Amino acid sequence: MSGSSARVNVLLILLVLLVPAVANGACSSSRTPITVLCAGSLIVPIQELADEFEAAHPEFDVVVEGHGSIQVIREVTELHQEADVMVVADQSLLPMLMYGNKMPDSADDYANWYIRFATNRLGIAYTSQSKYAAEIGSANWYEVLSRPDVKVGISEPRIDSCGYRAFMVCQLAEDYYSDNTILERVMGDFSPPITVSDNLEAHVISVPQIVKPKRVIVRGYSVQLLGLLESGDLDYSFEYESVAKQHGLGFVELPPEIDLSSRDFADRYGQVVVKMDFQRFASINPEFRGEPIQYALTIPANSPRWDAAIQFAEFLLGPDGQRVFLESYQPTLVPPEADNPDNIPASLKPLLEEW
Amino acid sequence: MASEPKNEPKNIRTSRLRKVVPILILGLICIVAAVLVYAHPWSGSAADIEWNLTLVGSNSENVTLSLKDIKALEPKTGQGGFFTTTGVIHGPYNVKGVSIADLCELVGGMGPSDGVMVSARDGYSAFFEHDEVEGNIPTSEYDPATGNLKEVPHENLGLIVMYEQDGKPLSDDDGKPLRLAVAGDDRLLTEGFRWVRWVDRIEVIPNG
Repeated sequence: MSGSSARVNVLLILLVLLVPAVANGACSSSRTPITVLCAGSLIVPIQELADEFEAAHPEFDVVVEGHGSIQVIREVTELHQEADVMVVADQSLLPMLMYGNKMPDSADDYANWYIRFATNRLGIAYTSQSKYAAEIGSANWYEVLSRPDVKVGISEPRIDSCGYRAFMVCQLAEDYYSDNTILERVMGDFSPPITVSDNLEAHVISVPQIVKPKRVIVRGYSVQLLGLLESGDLDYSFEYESVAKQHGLGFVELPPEIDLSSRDFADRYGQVVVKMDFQRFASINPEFRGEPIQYALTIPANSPRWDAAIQFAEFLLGPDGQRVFLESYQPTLVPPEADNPDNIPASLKPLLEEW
Repeated sequence: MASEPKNEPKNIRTSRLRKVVPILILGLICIVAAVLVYAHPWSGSAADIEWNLTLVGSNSENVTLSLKDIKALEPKTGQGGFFTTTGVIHGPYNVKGVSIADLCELVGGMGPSDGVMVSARDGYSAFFEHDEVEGNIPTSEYDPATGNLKEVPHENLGLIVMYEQDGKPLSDDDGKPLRLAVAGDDRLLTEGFRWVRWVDRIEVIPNG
């Protein structure tokens, strides 16, 4: 090899090393990342919002991660992941796990406010191929689901909020339809059994450490049930309305008295508690009381890009966000509502007033 | 005078060297930086890490193993990946570790009515009944036609306490140094909640 060709080779190697490094540096410095952690059932509208936000604000790079709602919070408070915006499917989790929870080396809590902005309802997803699809409705759904030749799916109540909420719906249905066999008929037996006991305040559904069904088909996540519905391995599954409709599935709406959608029936929903024998997270008491499904947003106090987080939150809570959520079949709260309004960042406060 | 023609190339080489050396130094810095950036997640082999795995039997017998102890046990290999609650797929990976059934044997084994609680440093736990430890877990693959996960049958599936993923020690994000994996002969996917990261305790629960 001649001296000049060797030098050319050295320069080429350096170029190969330097160009990606420079390009990477240039890219990362030109776009500000915004990390959004969101509940799995919101992944479709939040990703759409992220795309629209980036199109309107090319200086930002929005990274969306979907988890179960508890895990969304744990990623920040226990695993110390940097996040800018957090959106959960159960508003009660934010004060439970972030208020009064001090950040490392700080006197401040991870959060001291949140904003409720959307709701949802639980119902029955199905396809046109599902048995008795032509006759199922809000008056006879539990009778159809109880038929021996109908295959019903639920997500794992120990893992997925949609799973334990399915038990709540069936228990609430017993009172609403005055038929105390609905839960047992729809869900069938489990070994060991899932039991219901009544105390002065509520029906308490006890889920044992093992969930081994004899009738219904249980999968860890509701996303798996969608595949089983479409393949015909299931006829019906309990699902959130937004998720079912986003996937083009049929959806049986249930009465608001039992579908966990309406604050008018909050007291009624609160008469059902699901209690797990299995503690999945050391920091969470695995006992869930029925309440209206309300999605909520906060910005963790240690967000590394606070101003960018505020801009994205404004977009999500404002008219653009409302439109995207409605297009994704996600009912919204207009205007959104604050918990601890005095602590809400000033630029978000106008969004909490009548538009 | 006669020596000048010989000296001239030397001077030229020196001058060129002066130009090249800073570039080489810069290149070296880049290489070191790249190594630091890209190798960081698994910098330091798993063998370097102080980590204890506590095994508790159904009769409360317990044994504590170091990473070195674990790697001295008969290794088990397989393939498997997982998906998240939103359907995002990770892997499949080539998995190497120790069978959870073999670990349970060290504290008296597992009866057909027993379960296993796998716990982690971060306070997370997953429970497995006997059937699941035997590999009776739904497996899926990505169906490009529908964009959904499609359930498919499997063979020789099992729970492995993994210390190597794709031939490398685990990164912090992947659960360094020990993660529970569901792996078998095929490159199939299972639910992510079973893939416990940072495993530090395995307990056989009688009549779980």
